[in-house]
Amino acid sequence: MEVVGKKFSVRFDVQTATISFNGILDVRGKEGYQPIVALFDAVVERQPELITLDVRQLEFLNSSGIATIGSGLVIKVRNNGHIRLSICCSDKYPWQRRSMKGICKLMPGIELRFD
Amino acid sequence: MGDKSIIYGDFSEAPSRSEVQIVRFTAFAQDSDQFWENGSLSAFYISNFWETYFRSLKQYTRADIRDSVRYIAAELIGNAVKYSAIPEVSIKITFNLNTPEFRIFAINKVESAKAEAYKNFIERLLTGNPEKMYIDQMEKNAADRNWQSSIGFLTIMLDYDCQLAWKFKSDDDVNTLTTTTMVCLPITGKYLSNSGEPGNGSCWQKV
Repeated sequence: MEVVGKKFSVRFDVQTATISFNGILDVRGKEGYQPIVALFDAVVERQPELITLDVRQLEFLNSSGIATIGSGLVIKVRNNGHIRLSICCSDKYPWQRRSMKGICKLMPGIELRFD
Repeated sequence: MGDKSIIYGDFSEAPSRSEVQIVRFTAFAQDSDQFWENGSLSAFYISNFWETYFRSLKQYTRADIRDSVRYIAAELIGNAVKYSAIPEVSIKITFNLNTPEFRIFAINKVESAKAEAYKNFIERLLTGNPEKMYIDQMEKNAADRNWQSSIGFLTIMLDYDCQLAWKFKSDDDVNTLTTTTMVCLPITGKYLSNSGEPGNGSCWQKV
């Protein structure tokens, strides 16, 4: 499963249950993020034990993207109750440490890792 | 001018002297997708421009300043693009060595009819608990399956430790108001890359 835009890609690897973000994600809210939300829905429906969100190669994410990850994935996983969530970040892009601080407050027990 | 302006928060005007007013950028286009893309490129340009003037210290690294400026500029431009009465926005960046603040101003016109809802939102933002508002908005988005952010200003306050303020000024045209959004980042003169001495402003003459 993947969503590819002009400046970004979002891919789901079934074997590792990893959603990987690449590039610059600054599309407009609501409609722009709908395909990514559909991918999140499909991933959660598979009910893996652990979902890994890998944003290490994501150079930029706007507030609609933060809202999409927070509301469209993290809260959905939390409400499911049977899936753990791990987020892989990189200090190469300092925004990741800042933005993930808020996202982690949405679900207790998120594993947050930095390279 | 004073009696025609409404201020929210601790607003102060952008300095007009050239050595303080560093960048003024205006983006405009007919096509909204192109306008959006221009806004994104503008934020990228502004952040890379500013990164070169600073050095890494404990609280902020140069990369962090770059990412912070890019995020904030993109949010301000994005808001202006979404809500402007006419497709034009000015971004004014100031770094005043006499005040401990790096400030970003976004100036655009909004329709008078839509301004009240915007003012109400700002009042809630300035009087409420931002952390609770952030979580409540995320929960609401999830419940409504609405991926329109509504957390842009909140993330600027919470994630980037910024102060926000606004000015609404009446236009000659009664159908529009000129709004100025001000964001203060806690970046001081000690971060300047050209000198270890805070207050040495020689780099500004290059701009």
